[in-house]
Amino acid sequence: MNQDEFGFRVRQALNDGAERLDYRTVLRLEQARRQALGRQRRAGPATVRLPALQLATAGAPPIDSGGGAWGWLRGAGLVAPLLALAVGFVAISHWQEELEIQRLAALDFAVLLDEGPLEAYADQGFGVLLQAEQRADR
Amino acid sequence: MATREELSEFLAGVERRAFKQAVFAVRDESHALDIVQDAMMKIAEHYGDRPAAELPLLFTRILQNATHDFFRRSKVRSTWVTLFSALNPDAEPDADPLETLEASGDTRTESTETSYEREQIVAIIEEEVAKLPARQREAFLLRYWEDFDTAEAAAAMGCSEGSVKTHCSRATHALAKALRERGITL
Amino acid sequence: MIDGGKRRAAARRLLLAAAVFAPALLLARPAQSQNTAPAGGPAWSQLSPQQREALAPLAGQWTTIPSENKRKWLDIADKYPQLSPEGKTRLQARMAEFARLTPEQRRTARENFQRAYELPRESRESAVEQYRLLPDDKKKELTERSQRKDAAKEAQKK
Repeated sequence: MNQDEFGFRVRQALNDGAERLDYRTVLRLEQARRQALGRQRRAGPATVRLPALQLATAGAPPIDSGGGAWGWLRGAGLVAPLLALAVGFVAISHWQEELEIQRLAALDFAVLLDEGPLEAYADQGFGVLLQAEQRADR
Repeated sequence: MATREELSEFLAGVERRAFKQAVFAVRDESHALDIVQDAMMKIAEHYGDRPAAELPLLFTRILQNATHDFFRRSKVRSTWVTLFSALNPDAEPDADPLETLEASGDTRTESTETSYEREQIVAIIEEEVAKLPARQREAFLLRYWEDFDTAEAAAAMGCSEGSVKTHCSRATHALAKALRERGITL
Repeated sequence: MIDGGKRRAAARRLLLAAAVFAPALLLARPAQSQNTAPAGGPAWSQLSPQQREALAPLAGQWTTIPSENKRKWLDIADKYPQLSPEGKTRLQARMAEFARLTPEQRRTARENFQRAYELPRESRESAVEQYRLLPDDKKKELTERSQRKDAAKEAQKK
């Protein structure tokens, strides 16, 4: 066997090892990746302003023309920040839901790749056996 | 300029190997995670605007720097690693272990192994890779796991192509010998 | 007539209240029961060829899958290309069965899987072997015992 072939075989083993990573590690790597992507450096102009903010601040009517419920808010110059807050909260809520979906996807991915029988995993009774093993371990 | 998709695809493809390589270097999974996280953040923040083709080399350098930083910060190199570095002779007076491996017959063992046996073998190979001296391990993994050619590996490691070839060949011989001694046929 | 200063103070209080309560209101959306949620989300024909290749075992049931679950499966489809051939085969072999489980069963499967992986390998395998050897009626007993425990815990909370 020459060096390249040896290297190739070792590579296969290393790839196997990389594929068998603990699902918790895989999940954390994924989270790290998404965080990093959020900070990707881009050549060019800075971040786009939120449309809601633009709508709220652009063409804001003068104080005394404000009417109805929002009139006094506009007068106090608070529509824009409140709208931004609302948009922000909606964004956080979507983001949290997105995180949860990613978490479940990583978990299900691990369950599917695992060798343990699915019918066992899906059975609450199996959980009893697992808990017994947990107690035996302590 | 790498698009978000290109950066995402690159990181998704490399993250598991990067984690494993960091574990080989620092022997600790949670430190390895930190190192990979740091490296991802750095490449995105400082080099996210480079063309996609430059990402592999950049990431490797960042990862290696992060690993070396870790050792510098912790000040104490793992004695385990130092011990084995000392024990790994550079010169090979006895028979070429690669030849011995081939001579031991059937090399296509995957079909007869159980998945459990395969796991054991993989674990042993990982152990022995981790025991390699740092430069040898880096050169070997860059050539055979990251598919860098000698020039790229030299650029990544900051040394000459000749050095890369030497490190690589020493790594191969050390690995082959170690695996033979542990009864592994590849 | 309320003067400007008091108006601004009231507005500030409103802002503070919004800051404190709005997240709770928005995040505490009622969890969509996966049993009754409409099967929205992209149609099978709208998926990319790569996604369809990855999720092929689900083609038959795709229309019945709730939209959040569809998003989760699409996430999984993204990870598919990185697997080895053996990994791909194993993933797909279990996919259809997993998708056919009830939401309850899937929740149990995730819990059991995580519990199993807290254990060392030998304990995990021992539990699997014990389960395999159990006759069906004993399995039922165990399941019922566990469900009774859950019901008791729920009753205690109230």
